[in-house]
Amino acid sequence: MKIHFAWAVQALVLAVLVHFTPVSYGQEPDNASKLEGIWKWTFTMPDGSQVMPRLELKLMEDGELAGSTRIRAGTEAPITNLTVHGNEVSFQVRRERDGREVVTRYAGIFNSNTIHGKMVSNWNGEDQTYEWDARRLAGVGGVWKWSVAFGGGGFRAESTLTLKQEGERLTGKLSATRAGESEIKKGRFKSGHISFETERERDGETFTNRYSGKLSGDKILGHMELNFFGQPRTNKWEATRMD
Amino acid sequence: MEWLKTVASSFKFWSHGIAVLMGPLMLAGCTSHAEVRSPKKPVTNQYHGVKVQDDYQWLENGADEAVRKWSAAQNQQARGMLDRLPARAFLQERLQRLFAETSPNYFDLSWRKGKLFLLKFQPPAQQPILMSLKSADDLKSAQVILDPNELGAKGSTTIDWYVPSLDGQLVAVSLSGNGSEEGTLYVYETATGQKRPEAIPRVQFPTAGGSAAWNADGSGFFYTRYPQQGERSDQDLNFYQQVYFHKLGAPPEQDSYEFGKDLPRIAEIQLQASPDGRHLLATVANGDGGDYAHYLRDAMGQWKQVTRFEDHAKQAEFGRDPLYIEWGKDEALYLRSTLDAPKGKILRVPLAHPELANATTVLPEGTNVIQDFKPTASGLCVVLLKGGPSEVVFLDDIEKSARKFSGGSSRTASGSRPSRDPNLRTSSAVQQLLATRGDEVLVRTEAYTEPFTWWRYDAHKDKERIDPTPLAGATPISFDDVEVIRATAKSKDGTSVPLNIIRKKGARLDGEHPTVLTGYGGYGISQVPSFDFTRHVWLDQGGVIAIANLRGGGEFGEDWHKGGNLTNKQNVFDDFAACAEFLIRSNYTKPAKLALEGGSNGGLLMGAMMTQHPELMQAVVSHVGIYDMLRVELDPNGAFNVTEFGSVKVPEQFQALYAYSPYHHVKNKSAYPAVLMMTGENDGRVNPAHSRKMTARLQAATSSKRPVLLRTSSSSGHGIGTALDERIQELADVYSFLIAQLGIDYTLVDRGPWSGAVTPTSVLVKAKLPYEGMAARLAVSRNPLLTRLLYAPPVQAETNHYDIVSFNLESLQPDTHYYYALEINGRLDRASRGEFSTFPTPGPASFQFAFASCAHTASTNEVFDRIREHHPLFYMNMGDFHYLDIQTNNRARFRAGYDTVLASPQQAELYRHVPFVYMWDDHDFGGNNTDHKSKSRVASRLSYQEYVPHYPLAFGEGDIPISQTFVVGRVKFILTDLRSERDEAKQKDNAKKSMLGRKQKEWFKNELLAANGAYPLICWVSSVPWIGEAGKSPYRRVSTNAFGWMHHNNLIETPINRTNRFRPPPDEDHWSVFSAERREIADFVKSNHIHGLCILHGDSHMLAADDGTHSDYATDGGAPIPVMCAAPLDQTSSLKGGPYSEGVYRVRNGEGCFGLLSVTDKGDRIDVFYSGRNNRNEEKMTLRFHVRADKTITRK
Repeated sequence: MKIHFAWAVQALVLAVLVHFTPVSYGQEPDNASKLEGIWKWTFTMPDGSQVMPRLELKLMEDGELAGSTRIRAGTEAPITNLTVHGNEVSFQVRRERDGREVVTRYAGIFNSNTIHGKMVSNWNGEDQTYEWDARRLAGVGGVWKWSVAFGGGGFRAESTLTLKQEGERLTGKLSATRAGESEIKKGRFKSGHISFETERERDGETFTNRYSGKLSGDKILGHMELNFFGQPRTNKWEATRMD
Repeated sequence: MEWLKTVASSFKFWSHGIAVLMGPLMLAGCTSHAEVRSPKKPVTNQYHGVKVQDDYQWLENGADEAVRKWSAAQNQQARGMLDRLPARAFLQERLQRLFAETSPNYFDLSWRKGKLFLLKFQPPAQQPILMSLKSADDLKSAQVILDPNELGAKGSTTIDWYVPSLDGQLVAVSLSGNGSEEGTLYVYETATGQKRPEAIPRVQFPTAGGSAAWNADGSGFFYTRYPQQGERSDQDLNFYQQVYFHKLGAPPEQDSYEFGKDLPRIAEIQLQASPDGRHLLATVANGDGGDYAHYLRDAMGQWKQVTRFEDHAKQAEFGRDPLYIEWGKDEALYLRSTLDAPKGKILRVPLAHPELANATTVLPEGTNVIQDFKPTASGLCVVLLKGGPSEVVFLDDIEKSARKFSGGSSRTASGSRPSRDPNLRTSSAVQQLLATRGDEVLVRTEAYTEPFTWWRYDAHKDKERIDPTPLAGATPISFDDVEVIRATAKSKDGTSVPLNIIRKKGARLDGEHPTVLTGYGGYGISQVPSFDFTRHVWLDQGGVIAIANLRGGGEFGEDWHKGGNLTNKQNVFDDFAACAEFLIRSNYTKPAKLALEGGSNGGLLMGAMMTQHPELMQAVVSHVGIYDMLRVELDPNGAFNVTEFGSVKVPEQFQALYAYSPYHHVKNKSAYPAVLMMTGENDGRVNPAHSRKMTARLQAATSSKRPVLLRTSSSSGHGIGTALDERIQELADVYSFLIAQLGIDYTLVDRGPWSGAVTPTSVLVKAKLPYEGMAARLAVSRNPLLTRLLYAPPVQAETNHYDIVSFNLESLQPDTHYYYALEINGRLDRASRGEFSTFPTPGPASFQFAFASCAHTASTNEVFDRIREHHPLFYMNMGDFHYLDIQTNNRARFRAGYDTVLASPQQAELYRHVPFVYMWDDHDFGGNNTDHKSKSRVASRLSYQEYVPHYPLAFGEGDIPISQTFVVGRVKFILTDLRSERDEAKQKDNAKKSMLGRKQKEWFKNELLAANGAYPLICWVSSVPWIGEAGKSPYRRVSTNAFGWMHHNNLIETPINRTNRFRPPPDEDHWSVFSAERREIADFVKSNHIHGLCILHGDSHMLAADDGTHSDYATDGGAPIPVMCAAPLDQTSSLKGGPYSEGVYRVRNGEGCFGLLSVTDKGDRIDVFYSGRNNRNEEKMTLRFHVRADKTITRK
């Protein structure tokens, strides 16, 4: 997504602000329920860094939609002023850092898997408007992490799995402490079940590790068959979504 | 931050600089320091009523013709002596080759808009080049922006510093020549390297340095400028630095004044633009004393003072953009302050109200010193200094947590390089920190024994992980054999002073190591771990290098600095003297073997040491030093140092300066050490006049016969920007000077020599030389002084033979003790003298030999000394010479393995003094329990034949087993290769399964048949245990904490539970899983009436012996064979096989063992005595037996 720091596009800003003006904060239950789930988008900051913020929306017991945004675990902030009218959604997020409050307002038109709209934030002192193109997070594509304890010294090997899903096919990389990075092979995701293999080479010999599990919300639960250079071992596998 | 900016001006450069030129040399007998006449022309100066006579003030005027002639004469004298030093030519060649092999250095990184800017130094280029990368991972994207090697002859033009524009499209570069640091600013286009028309002179000078910062849109830049001719008096032209603005394309004369006219005369300005270019920060140093003020220019062009000198704010950094637009832009300035916090704290000041009164503390003072920090999108990356070594932590402002970077990937993405976690070692330092974008930072680390690595950390992507980038150095010479000890010396006032001692592993504390001690102690600059491969050249000569963390530095914070500046300067010298005394008291060295080296402010330290403690050292090398502390402030740059040293204008400071000023404390007729003064004609930081005056004074005063030399380089300055060739010349001079002065009998041998394949009349000697083309021949003498030499024909070191030279010397006298050495390039290398005894003539003879196996790779265990002290006829290693477990067919790894082991002083000395016999086992052949399928088989076999002095192999040369035989007296030794032909252990144990392989087994049987009757005693070196049944260890009941001698019939019944029960190792290595073949051999021995056979083996980490009671595996018995096991040299214990009639000896951790076999030939019988001993030479196991010898020899 391209960033527009266009201070000059006043007309657009005004239009968006008008659009954000809360006529009412109501939610149309039937339409609100269509938004339930996890939504993600990519954003590039002026310094070139990229983040993938996400919006998680849940239907509460009272039938109202509530949720939060985050850029990584531990950074969640609740959304407020959520409105859903037809296929239009809007909400805002307030965050405070070093005594300064930043209000970010989101508004867009959604369908089953995408939201397209605008974001307005006063993060650098004045309102700035940006494109907002979010997609529903489905399947297992994304970043996953888990750790495994080794020995009795409290050492834990951390693993990070980055998956890309195309239909049932999975590609991506597994990166682990002291093991380096390897491409995944034979990656499959079907009916909630995930499986893939990785290979490690040592002194010219190839050792294969196999992973299989089931997607359950933000977790994958299953087993990993690890081959420690000729010594097979099967461990539980519990990966947590990080993006 | 651009390179050199951090160094500011002054004398500081030498602190972290160009790696201390650790040098060595000696001019024994070179006494002619009086050859250059230095007339005294007394001048008297008066300070606060004290009259001070100065005989050599006339030498201060470097432009004076008489002074120039005097300098030239000194140089000629120094050159005459240095060039004659015997080691110099070799050292220069060695250094040139090492520099040619070294990897590029990447330093002074900057980040702009998706582009990484950096300097790259790759010898043989003389100067670093400026280039850009798309990222630290993408070396292929390298694009050269400016190569100063193409600008001037001999690489004399250097980049002082560079600053990219905020959009990364242009780069402002200061260039200077001949090490002068007098820079002119140019502008280059990043994409094309095209030079823009800008040329702005006088932006950089050694006094206050120089700096620049671009405006937001890249249409111009702010820069520091010194007064132009006519703007100030001539004396002030290198003072009064101010800030100007230059608009691109405009002539420099139209540049507008911006800031600085009200600053002190000795102000030093560093400029820094905020990430968005809206703000400009000027950090103003009050000379070199470590006090700073900060001024901020806002978007409207208004300057505001943020801090004053007395606020003790040492560093300022702008806040960054957040990770995402839901968080606010961090419109703040962060300050590292030592006000009421000598170890530092970090403050945050809002840019909108940049007064210190509005500051909040974001990181209070802690236990360790805050050395550096960089704000990132969501936190602060902070470098914590721990007395020299340092580590980096991330303070997460979003999660309010502090994280150390742990783990790190063991390999790069390409899987090519092992991990070097920056926080896991005590001897590493974080040398630069660069915040790029978001939460990403790049961190450069170095250790004394490891070259630099740039790491990437991104708290947003992975809070706990830091990974190495391809921007990492490699060393042309392995430092695996080097270790660093961090010791503490007690200074005169009781202060503990850290000392980093770099030495070869296994270095003996015998007081004989030529040692170079270096230090700095000034400006609050810390001596942090740094890598310099040239140090190995000194270590190779038995040298030790010690680096002191003296007061005056910043190792323990501002208090540590203040404890050694101004009127406290004497503390620095006391600290250093304490370090020298520590090295002597701890038996590293002695005064006759101790040299001191330092530069700049460290040169002052050298001057103080030689005048205050001349008895402590033999030699001093002092680079670009300050010696006349009463007149130093009269030099332009000296004035900037008044805040660090003090001024003669202040009475109490004059008293302090006069009390230690080295030039004024040279005493007539004192025995001063040998001195090599080095200075650069273009030095704008320390006037070369200091070196001239001190040299003249020392030459006139010293009563020792040691030389005082002055070496002035016309093509260098204070050291910055010195071309590579000049640096190599300096290093060669320093090293050869110290080698000569410390009386080092230097060696040109890289590994070895070691001897083997001894017969009654011949010997085979091998050695590895440092580089190809060196000519060597072996010289042998019966006299330890190496007189009346016999020579083997000369050979030349060749790269395709790994520079290993091999000599087969024949026609020697039997049963005679010889000494040998290599004559290399016409010089007898006495330092690596070896010895051996030829074997007795065939027939009855008594002798003793040692045997053992299983040592940690490059073990320095004293057990090797114990073996040597027995003076055995030979020493036989029966396997696991190292534990590298090489499982690839890579000869380089095997060669490096031999190099590594031979680097152990204890092992090298043993192999030099006792002939070597060697049969491998699993870990040194191809990995644990390995067999003929090992991928490393060919490389292992070929490397053995290349590197090891061995007997002729049974099957010739090439890809063959290394089985071999030899004879001593009436004893036949048969060494079987039980690894490289062996079947897999898991194979079914039947007649087809073999440990020897068909061909070797046939050979072995034939050797037994041939030896039988001809030799009363036949020693079969089996390498692996013979006795035992698979799955039936008699030692299962032994507790894991039971050590010492034990017998299977008499095991102590201790309560044994699940945790302490001994679990014997698996049987894969053992003859028990080749039981069919074992029976075949035993039956062969029985049926052929093989007489006098005994077995020697290792592998099992124990001493053990059997008189034949348990070793008879012939069908229905009839082949009892005495068995002796000798191991481990230093590995942890293991008990395999058994039982053994004489019991087993289980070693304790750290206890090393070996076997000593005495063969006494009494004519009609041969008595054999096996003594199993440990590293304290205590006998732990014995076996006596004898074999009949009557008439048997006559059959031959």
